[in-house]
Amino acid sequence: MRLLEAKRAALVLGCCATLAGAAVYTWTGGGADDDWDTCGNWTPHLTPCYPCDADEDATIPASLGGYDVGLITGEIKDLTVQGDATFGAAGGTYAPTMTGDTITITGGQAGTTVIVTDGATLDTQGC
Amino acid sequence: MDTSLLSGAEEDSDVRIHWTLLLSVAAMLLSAVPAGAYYFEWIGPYVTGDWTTATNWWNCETQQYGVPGANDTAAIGHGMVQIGIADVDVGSLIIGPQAHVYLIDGYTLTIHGPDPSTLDGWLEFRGVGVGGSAGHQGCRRVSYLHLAQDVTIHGSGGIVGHDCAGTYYARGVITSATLQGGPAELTLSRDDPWDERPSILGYVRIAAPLNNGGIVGVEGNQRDVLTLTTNAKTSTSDGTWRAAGNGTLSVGVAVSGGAEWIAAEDGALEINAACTSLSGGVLLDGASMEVNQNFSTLGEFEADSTNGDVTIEVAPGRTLHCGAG
Repeated sequence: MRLLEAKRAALVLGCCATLAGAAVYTWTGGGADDDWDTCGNWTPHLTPCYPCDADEDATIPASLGGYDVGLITGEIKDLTVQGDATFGAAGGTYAPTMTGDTITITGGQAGTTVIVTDGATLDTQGC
Repeated sequence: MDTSLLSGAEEDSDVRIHWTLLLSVAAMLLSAVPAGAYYFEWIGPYVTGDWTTATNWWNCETQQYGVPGANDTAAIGHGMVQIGIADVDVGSLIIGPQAHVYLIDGYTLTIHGPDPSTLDGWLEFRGVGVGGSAGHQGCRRVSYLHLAQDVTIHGSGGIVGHDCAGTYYARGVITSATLQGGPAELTLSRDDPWDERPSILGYVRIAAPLNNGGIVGVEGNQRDVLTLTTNAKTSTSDGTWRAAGNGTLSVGVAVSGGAEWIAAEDGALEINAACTSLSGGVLLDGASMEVNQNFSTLGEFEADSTNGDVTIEVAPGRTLHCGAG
C-alpha cells in the first residue's frame, strides 16, 4: 500500500512539474475506475491527462445519477461542481486532500448534493 | 432565707434549660432538613445589592435569611442584584418585571437544574427593557454566562451584558437560549485566547432579530470558532439565525463584521441568505451544510470527512462559492 502511495505521489509530483499551464478539465467518468488520476475520466485529453496543477481548473458536470470521484492529494486552481457528486479516496490513497483556490457548487435546476466521504477533504486556502 | 426566691430562681433556671433543650432539638431538626431545593426571594435594596449578602435573601420555606445555593430557586421580583464578590451557582433563577442581575467582569453565574428538558432551572428575564430598566447603570458585558439550562427571555427582552442596543454578549458556553420579544441579537465573544471557546451546545433561537436578522456572531481578539458539538437540526425563517432541536446552526443573514469562522464539527450548517463576510471561512468536519441562497466566502472552506461524511446540498438555482477568486 505504501509503495503504491509513494508511486502515486511521485506521479503527482511529476505531473505537476510538467506545468502544462492553465487548462480546463471536465470529468467524464469514462475511465476504468473512478480515480482522479485516471486519464480516461477527463476530457480533453491533455498532457498531463488530469488536473493536478495550481493553474488548472476542474469541472464535474451534471449527470443523471451523479458521479463518483476518487480524490488524490493535490492542488488545482478552481473546482466547479455542477451536479451530484460523491468525492471519496482514490484507490491506494489515504485521507487525500484536494485543494483549490475556489470551490463552486451550483444548484442547477434540481439542486446539487455533494458528498465527501472515505476520509477525503475538499479544501480552499482562502485569502 | 427566702426559699420562695430560691425556688423562683430554680424555676427560671428550669425554664432556661427547657428553652435550651427546645432550641437544641429545633436546631437538630433544622439541620436534619436536606440542604437545597428552597425558594428564596430577593429582599435586598432596589439599588445595587450583592448576591452574596445573606440579609438580601429570604428563604420562604425556612423563614430565614440566607443565600440560595446550587439546588435552590432564587426569585428576584425587583431590584438590582450584582454578582461581583464571588461566583454564583444556583438551581433556578427567576427575574421579575423590575429586576436586573448583572455580573462584574471575572465572575461566573452558573445555573444548574436536574433536566434541561423540563422547566426546572430556567432562567427567565421578564419585562426588562433592552435599553435598561429604571435604575439601570450603564451597559455591562457578561463576564461568564454558563447556562446549563434553557434560557428564555420574555417580553421586551433583556439580559445582563447587553450593549443598550439589543445585543446580548456572552463568553463561555450557552447550552440553549431563546431570545424573544424585543429586537435582539446575540454575540459570543472571547477576549483572551485562554478563555473557553464560545460555543453553543444546544440551540439559539432569536424570535425578533435586529436589523432584519438575528445575528449569532463571534467577536474577540482571537480567531474564534463558533462550534456546534451536538447532533443538530435547525430550522430557519424570517431571516433569523435559528437553531432548533439538536444543535444545527442556521445562517439567515449576512454575518456582521468580526465573525470569522463558522464551524460545524457535528450536526449541520444551514445557509439561508447570502453570507459573504466570513473572513475566516467555513469548516465542515463530519457535518452537513445546506445552502438555500447564494453563499460565498473569501475565507477558507474545508469539507473534511475524516471524522464522518460531509454532505453539502445546494438548492436549485443557488450557488456555493468559497475561496479566493
